[in-house]
Amino acid sequence: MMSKSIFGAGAIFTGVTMMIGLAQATETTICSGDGASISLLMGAVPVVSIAKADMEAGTQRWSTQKQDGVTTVSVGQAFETSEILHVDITDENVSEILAKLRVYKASESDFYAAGGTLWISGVGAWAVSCSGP
Amino acid sequence: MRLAIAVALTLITAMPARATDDIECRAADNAAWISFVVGTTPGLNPLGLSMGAGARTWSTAKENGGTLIEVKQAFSTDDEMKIDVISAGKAAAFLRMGFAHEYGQEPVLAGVLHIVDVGAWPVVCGE
Repeated sequence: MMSKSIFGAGAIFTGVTMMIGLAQATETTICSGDGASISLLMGAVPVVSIAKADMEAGTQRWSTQKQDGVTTVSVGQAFETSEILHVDITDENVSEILAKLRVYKASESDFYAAGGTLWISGVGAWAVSCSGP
Repeated sequence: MRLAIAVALTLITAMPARATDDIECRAADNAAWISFVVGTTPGLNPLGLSMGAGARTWSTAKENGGTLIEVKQAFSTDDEMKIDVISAGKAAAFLRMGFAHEYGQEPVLAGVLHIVDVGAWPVVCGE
């Protein structure tokens, strides 16, 4: 009985830990400009991992998740350091670059700044500022 | 201004000396700004640079007043521009910019300005 109780408590603890872990597993970075934006659901892990990307410009929308009325895209490549976040978005087959996000980051005491450019092939280019991690 | 940026960036990487262009970048609500003169020789070589944040100003030219600064290093490619600024031998500011251009539309130059011990801001050039 004693071992069952201990096992039960351990299972609850593990479950809570997993729930906390899941809750902290992703963070969203949103970069927006005057007419376009991109939202990146990033895995909070030691490597750059974009779980989902959504992008829009005017009435056009793109996403890595299949949705009606939305062009499906893929994350071609991504590179992040303490100073930059660079992401290339490709078509679904990863054969052509459709968009480039080039963000630069800086911080000073209470200040945090992240800004750069978003270019969408055949659509336009915008200055963007970003919020998020 | 936007045309000047496009011309400057094109010439920076592609053409011999002809003239100079001014590039000015500002944070939202003008919280900070930086402006510099670029020659049109290959590579990014700011000929003069000034910046400000709140009531404080910095400049490579004594006659402009403010804290005296120097351009430590600068580098540009087809889609990126970096400038490091020092004052009295210590890091004073970092400008990191991306350049994007869609055919037939105005080019965009934007990034972040970090003034050491003062602040950091997203900035947009030519607006």
